[in-house]
Amino acid sequence: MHIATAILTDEERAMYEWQMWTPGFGIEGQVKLKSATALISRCGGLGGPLAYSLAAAGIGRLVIAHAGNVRQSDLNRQILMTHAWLGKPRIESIVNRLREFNPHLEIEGIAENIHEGNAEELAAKADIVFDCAPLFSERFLMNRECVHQGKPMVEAAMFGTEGQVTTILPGTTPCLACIYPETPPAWKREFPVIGAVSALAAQVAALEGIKLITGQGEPLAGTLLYFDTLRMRFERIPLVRRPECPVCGTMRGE
Amino acid sequence: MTIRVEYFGQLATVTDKREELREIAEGATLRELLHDLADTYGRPFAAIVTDTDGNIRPSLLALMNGAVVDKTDNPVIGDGSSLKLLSAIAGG
Repeated sequence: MHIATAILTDEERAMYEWQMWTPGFGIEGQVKLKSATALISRCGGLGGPLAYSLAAAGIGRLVIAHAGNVRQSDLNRQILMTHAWLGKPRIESIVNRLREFNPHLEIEGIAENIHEGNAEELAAKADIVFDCAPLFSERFLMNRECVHQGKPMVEAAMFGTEGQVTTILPGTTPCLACIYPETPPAWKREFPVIGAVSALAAQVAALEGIKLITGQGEPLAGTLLYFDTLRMRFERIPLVRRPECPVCGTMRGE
Repeated sequence: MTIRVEYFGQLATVTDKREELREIAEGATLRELLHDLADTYGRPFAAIVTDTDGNIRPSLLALMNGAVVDKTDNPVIGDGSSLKLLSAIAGG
C-alpha cells in the first residue's frame, strides 16, 4: 500500500499515546493510520463496530456506503444507530455518532449501498476496503473492483453464532470469486444475528486493516478464520486460488 | 465405516445439529455422502449442497481432515474421516 504521509498534532499524540506504546506500532504506525482512507461497504451490525474501532484507532478518513432508514430491527446490533434516529437515514446516524466519537476523523457518508454504478468510484477513493454487505451481489461487485484496482479487501461475514474473516490481496490470495465461484442460491437477505457475533467479526476485520495499513504482523491472507461462538472454536482454513477464476485468475502476485 | 460430519452456517440450521457420527459404505465419495445427507435432511439441505443435476455446489466449502476439498475431485471418504461442511455466509 502506498499512502501519503500525514502529520500528528499534539492533541492526536496525546489521544493515541497508549496505542503508540504497542510494540512495533509507535508514531510511525499512527502516522500511517492517519494517512489512510478506508471504504466500508455497509455499516450495520458488522460495519458499525468496525468503523468505531477504526475511528478509535485514528484512521484518517472513512468512506462509508449504507442506504436506508433506521428501523427497530437494526438496534440489536447496529451500534451506530440510535432510537432517536428511527425512520431517518442510517448514514446520518452513522456519521453523527462517529463524529461525536472522534472529531478528527474525516468521513464521507454515502446514502447508497454498493451497486454497479458506484462500485468502481467508491473503491477508487480508498487505500483499503472492508466488505460487510449482507448480499453476495454487493460483495462480488466490491471484490471485482478491488481486484481490478489492486486494493486489499478485508472480507468479513457472520451468521447466527458463527463468523468468518479473510483478507484478500489481489493477485496474491484467493479472491471472493475463488472462494465462492457462484452466487450461493440459498443465502437469504434476512439472517439470524446476535450483535456480539457481528462485533467479534468486526474486531477481527479491524485488526486486519490496522495490520495491513501499519505493515505489522501477518494478515489472514489466503486463510479463512472461521469461528463458532457456541463452542468457542476458532479455525484457520487454508484457501486456494482458482486459476480459472474469471475475476483474478490471470493476475500475478506482487 | 464411521465418519464425523460437522455442519456450519445454514447447514447447522437445516440439520438442527452441529455434528454427528455417520455410517457410510466403504468407498463412498463426498458426492454420495451429500446425497445421503440430503435424503435425511430434505430439500433445504440439498439446495445448499447440490445443484439440480446433483453435482456438488461450487459455493459449498468442504473440509476433509482439515484440508479444503476440491469438489471437482469428488474424493473417496476414508474410515474415521472428519468432514466439515460450511455453507456460504454473508451476514453483516
